[in-house]
Amino acid sequence: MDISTSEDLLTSGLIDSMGAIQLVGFVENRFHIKIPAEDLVVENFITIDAMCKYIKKSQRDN
Amino acid sequence: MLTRAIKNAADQTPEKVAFKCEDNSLTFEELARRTEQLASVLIEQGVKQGDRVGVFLPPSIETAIAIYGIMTAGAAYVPLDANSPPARIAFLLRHCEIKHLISEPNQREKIAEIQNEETDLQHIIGINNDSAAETISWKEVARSQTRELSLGVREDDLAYVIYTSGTTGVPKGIMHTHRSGFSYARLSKELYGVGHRDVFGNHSPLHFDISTFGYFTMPLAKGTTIIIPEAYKRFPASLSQLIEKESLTIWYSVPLALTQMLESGILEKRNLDSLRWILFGGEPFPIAHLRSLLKLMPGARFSNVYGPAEVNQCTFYNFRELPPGETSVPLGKAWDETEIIIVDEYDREVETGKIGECLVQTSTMMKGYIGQPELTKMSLYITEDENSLTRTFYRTGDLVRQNERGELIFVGRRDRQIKIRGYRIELDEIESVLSSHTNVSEAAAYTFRNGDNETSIVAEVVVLKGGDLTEEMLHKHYRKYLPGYIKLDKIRFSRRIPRTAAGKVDHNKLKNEADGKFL
Repeated sequence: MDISTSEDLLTSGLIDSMGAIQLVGFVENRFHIKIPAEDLVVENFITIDAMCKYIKKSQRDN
Repeated sequence: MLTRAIKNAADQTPEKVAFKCEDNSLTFEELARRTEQLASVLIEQGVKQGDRVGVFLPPSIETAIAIYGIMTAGAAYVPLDANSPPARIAFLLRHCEIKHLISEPNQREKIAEIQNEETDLQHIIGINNDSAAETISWKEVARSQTRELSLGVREDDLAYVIYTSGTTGVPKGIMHTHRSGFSYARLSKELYGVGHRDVFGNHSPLHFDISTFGYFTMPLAKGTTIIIPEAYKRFPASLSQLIEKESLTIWYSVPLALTQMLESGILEKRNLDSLRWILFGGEPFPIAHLRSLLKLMPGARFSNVYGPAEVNQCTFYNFRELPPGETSVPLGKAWDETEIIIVDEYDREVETGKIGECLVQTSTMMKGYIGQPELTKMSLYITEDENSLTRTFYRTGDLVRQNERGELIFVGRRDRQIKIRGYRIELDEIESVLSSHTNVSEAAAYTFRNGDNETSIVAEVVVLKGGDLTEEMLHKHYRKYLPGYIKLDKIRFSRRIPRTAAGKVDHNKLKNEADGKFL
């Protein structure tokens, strides 16, 4: 399946609630970051673009 | 009448925001206009009084336009769960004889899948493509002329049909009328003192009746409903952020949404002062979590709402602190316009304090199950006195008892009552006792057949984060509350308890997974 980097992954139902937990785990492991609870919000995970932006910022801050 | 509330609010407080979802909002005036436009389009398309119209929409402001547009056209709305398999949705469409569906462009693929099954769909509103049915976009609806809507919607006309899974495998379509729907709006508005300053967080999808608070009660009170998008439900920290950002005053959901916020919603960092009511219902609230929640929201009042979808709500228990001496939160007392009796298996009223089935007579009662008159008959208990005055009660299938304060206590589902060696045992009671342990996050009790074909009881227990719990400690707690014949054969500690789409414990799944496993 093709997913554009600006596609809303959450509202479209592509990611269900279990999927959201798995997604967060994947991002943490793959990019060696620890995501604090306050950053586990919709706007950081809604699209692939949003996740890239968040990961970059998180890596820069560390 | 439910539709009247929108008209009144549009006349009296036209600029007031009625519904909001992220950056989209509708004032009462806009809602009234768009509702009439949609109703006109539906009538143009041949919708007749009493017809059923499907709503296939994710949480969005369109949901409000859809349900009021459908009701204004004299039809009943039928919410469909987008997460159901296409074959089931097609079944519901046929079962309810739905020819008109209201949706939006992102659902195009799912609708195509549904149309691959057998349906009678003729018109789809909200998508624009060459489908097997005629389509019209939301934009076109918003441009359409409003026709004279002189329909006399009657009190006992169907307003909505909500489906629940039936024990026989055929889903049950619960029919509610304008009378029952409006009674709910009026009674809940009164009980919780809902006013135009209130802002309600609508967490529940349309196919759960909890949503009637946001869609019926709030417009009647001229308050604002914030429709919470699907995505927020995946991230509890976003939910708590939304409470603060929108200054929600009333929250109503299944306990699960609240426990998730407790676990990963960083509630302690949020300003939750705006909240004045936390309503929950659908299943018992695990006590340990409830205690934490009460501490975090000292300014809020809590309400345990009880009532099967057939009656929407029939009792309430309002509290600021937990009652002493109970292992679960009481269901409380019947609300206005409602009578409850507790009967044994021969329909004789039980002595005060004894366990029996809860039967309800209320103004919020359903009309019956659509297309299933036999099932409707079986679900009702009708009494007749010497003056041939008849009264109709709904058999809830819930076992309850009255405590010394006259409050109802939930004991368990009748179909979760089992017999072992002649003893009647309530699995839900076991669950409630286990959940009341300070270090238990949640618990589920179910049965399985062992190698000798005997029924044994298993408990699946999730330990509270950071809590210490052994089997021995749990058995000790258990013995304090339950008699010796209610034997717990096995305790399994696990990380998660499976849930149904409604957020309730999925006992069937647990049982099916267990059967044949620890033989």
